[in-house]
Amino acid sequence: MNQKKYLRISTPGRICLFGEHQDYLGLPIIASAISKRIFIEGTKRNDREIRIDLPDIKDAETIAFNGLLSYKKERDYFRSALSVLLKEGYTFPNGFDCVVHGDIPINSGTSSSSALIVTWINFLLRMSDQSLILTSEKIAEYAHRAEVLEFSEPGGMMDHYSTSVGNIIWLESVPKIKLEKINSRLGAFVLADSREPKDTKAILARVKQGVLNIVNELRKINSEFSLYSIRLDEIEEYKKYLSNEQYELLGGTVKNRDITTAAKKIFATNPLDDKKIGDLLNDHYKILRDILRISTSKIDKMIDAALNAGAYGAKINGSGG
Amino acid sequence: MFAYSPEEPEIVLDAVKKISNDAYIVYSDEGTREEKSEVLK
Repeated sequence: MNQKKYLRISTPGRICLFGEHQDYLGLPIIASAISKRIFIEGTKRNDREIRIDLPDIKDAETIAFNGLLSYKKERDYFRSALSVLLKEGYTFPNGFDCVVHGDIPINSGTSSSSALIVTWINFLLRMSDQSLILTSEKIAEYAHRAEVLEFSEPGGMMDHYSTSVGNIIWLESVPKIKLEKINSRLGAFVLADSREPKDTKAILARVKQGVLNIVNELRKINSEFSLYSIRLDEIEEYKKYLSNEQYELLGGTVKNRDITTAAKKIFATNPLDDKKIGDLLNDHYKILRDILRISTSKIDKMIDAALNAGAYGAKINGSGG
Repeated sequence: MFAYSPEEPEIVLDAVKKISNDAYIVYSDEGTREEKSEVLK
């Protein structure tokens, strides 16, 4: 019987250093957890009700669970995480009184929702009958199921692995998950939110679906075509099969993949060349701005201001934060 | 957006804040962890 009565768990947000809009294509990414965190703290109740106070957004939730759960709303993450663990055989004889709070900016591309789910799964596992402390990678796998697979959402695994594992990681997801911890020490970042509305679904439809359509078309011509292995100097032979926009998008995707690989090599050097990392961030941003077209004039101004003030490099984060 | 600013991040922060006030200095951090202190109990 698990005797743990009180628990406080925290998880960081993250920034995608390299590989923005690549992980859902199965291409590698480099991400860093950041010093903005979400916290869940709570105690066991004597009944099987879960009461979750969310003071940061002035909300609250109550979950009464007996057996498998049905979802009450879109992205019902507290229930989906619990449901994933129940399906895995974990048992919870008690409910909880919980408080969720934190300082990860919301809707800013810093993975606040993934950090919430990673924290909640950690909390639940440690409070379960089994009282387990699983590996960060296993927690990330459960969190990906709870956030993405349970709701058939488009999305990769970067957010879950980055927030759960922490520090700087390299992550590949195809043909199988391969995670490497990068031991370099980076200096400070300035993180900022433009507060402009963003249309993540439209961006994903254009960028993700656009690239997937290109891959499907080119595989009809060459069944061996692969985003993972094609060299930049080989894509010209496919130009006649693509519109100008598709050709640019393919080139941008391959360049971003190569920038991520180049960054990994820089991270392997000691001492770390901060200026080279900055240059690669700038190269990545230019492709996101000019080819994937996910920036805005306000974000461009913020980036210009940062670079003019001495930043080594800068880029948009997420779908437009 | 974020800017890599290993030198004098406060100057970069001030420059960015002139365009958007929602800006912070952050550092790379460890992953999920159990906190030992009780804050809101």
